[in-house]
Amino acid sequence: MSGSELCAQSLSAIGQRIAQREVSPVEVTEATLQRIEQLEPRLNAFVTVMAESALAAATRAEQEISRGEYRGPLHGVPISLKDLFYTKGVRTTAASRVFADFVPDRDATVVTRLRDAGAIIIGKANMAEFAYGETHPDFGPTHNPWHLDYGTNGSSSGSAAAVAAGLGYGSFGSDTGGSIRLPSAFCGVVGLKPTYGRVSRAGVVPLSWSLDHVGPMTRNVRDCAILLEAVAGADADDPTAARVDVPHYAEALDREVPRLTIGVLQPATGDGVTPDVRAATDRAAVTLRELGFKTIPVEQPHPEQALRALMAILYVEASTYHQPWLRSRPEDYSVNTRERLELGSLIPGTVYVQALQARRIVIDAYRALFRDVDLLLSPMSPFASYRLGGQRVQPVTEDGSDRMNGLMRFSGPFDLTGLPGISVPAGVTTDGLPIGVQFVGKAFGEEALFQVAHAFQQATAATIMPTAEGNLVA
Amino acid sequence: MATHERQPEANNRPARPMTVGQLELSAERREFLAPRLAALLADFSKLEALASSDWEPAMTAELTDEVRRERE
Repeated sequence: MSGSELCAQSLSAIGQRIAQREVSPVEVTEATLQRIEQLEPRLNAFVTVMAESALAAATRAEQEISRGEYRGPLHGVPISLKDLFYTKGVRTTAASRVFADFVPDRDATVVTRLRDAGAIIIGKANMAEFAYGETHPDFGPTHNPWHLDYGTNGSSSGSAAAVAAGLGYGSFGSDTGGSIRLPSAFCGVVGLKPTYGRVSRAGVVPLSWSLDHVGPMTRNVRDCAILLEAVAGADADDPTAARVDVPHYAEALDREVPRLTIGVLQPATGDGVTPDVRAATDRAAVTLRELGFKTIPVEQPHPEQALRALMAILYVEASTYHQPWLRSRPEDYSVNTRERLELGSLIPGTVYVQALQARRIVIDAYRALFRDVDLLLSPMSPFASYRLGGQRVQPVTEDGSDRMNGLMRFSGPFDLTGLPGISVPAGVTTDGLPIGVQFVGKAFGEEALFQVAHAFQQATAATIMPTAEGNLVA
Repeated sequence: MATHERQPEANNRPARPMTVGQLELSAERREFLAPRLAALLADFSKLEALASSDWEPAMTAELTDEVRRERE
């Protein structure tokens, strides 16, 4: 099997080959590093490539496996991390000049758990500056593997591009308004934002404490389930990490899927959904019915107010975290990040509390909705990818909404409510760019989410490497 | 932008300066931000239509706590 063929395997497939000693962790890691070297100049998916430590870890994994000390499906498998996960001895920049030389003295809990499972950390992925919507010019944008002139969206931009291009078998990102799920949709991969409290955020540079989630990004649903199972669960270092049992998510995929009722979010005035995305979502609903699920139309509760509350909380919490550096070195932020952070510093506390009150109403509305349905289906992003370049746009529009609001229409409400959502590839636009749909579940309902998303993916055969493969390697 | 990893070195995360009170912005900066802040606050004021002063604010992890209690 050639290096590119190795890199095109799914995480679960390569894990099985390693377990059966058909291929060694060193071979897999070398193939991945070689592919990164080949494609990185065109993608800009990484801030730091951890070649030396990855090869050392792969050698250790190979020795352990040959001694019969096999750790499980991640043993010897290369994984990347958004560059806001603390990695001991390896700089963690959050793609900002402010943290450009920050070298943590410990690993994030997620990183520790991945290492314990035998995963090989291959590198730190590029991202929007501090996960706050803008690319810092020092780090530059990540290019979409499907079309290099197009963006990946953010903020987990490098993670999505790396997974789509076969630069590692999975990645971990963070999601405060959609930052795992949106780039996953734009790059044709699977991205999970777990339930708030499902995965520890200890050792992850925060954006907004009460909205931040971390989760896996992979090329298929089974791989996503494997990664979540490896990192989920309570953590003494994160008081928000819930003491809720962690199911065997991947095993659940092999069980019969219950005949669930799925609520399909209906079109609404001003939702901004393009015809391509609407058609893909409608096709997804048809597929679900063909699979035996019952679908019923539902309305999205308080879509504008949910985003308004999310942004009020995000502006204030992000500014609070950044106060020390905002005071001492504001010029080191990108123009728009600085502007959002300064504006957040000027928002009255009463607005923040009103946003938390609105949050309760939105949570209650979704709780009521989930009395009638088991899952929701929606578009992931209202539109597909966009061309890179163009002039800088002000963060706040003339009508006072943040310009990220439209993009976060279907992702943001679930950061606000904490409910789990997964983005799954659902086709391509007439221009050949990926489209994702989103499934949303009940709190800690990731098992059902995976089962339905897996059934959908199996039915649509939408597990696809970029058709831009020729473009990438030419 | 990719670079190869560095050798372990001292933790040089930017120091948190000892400052107190509100962020101090220059007059020029405040003037620059003023119209954007006004627009933002006008938009956020629409939260009043949904939020009532009688409502207890929703706090972090409340949703997950409820599920945890149900399962314990």
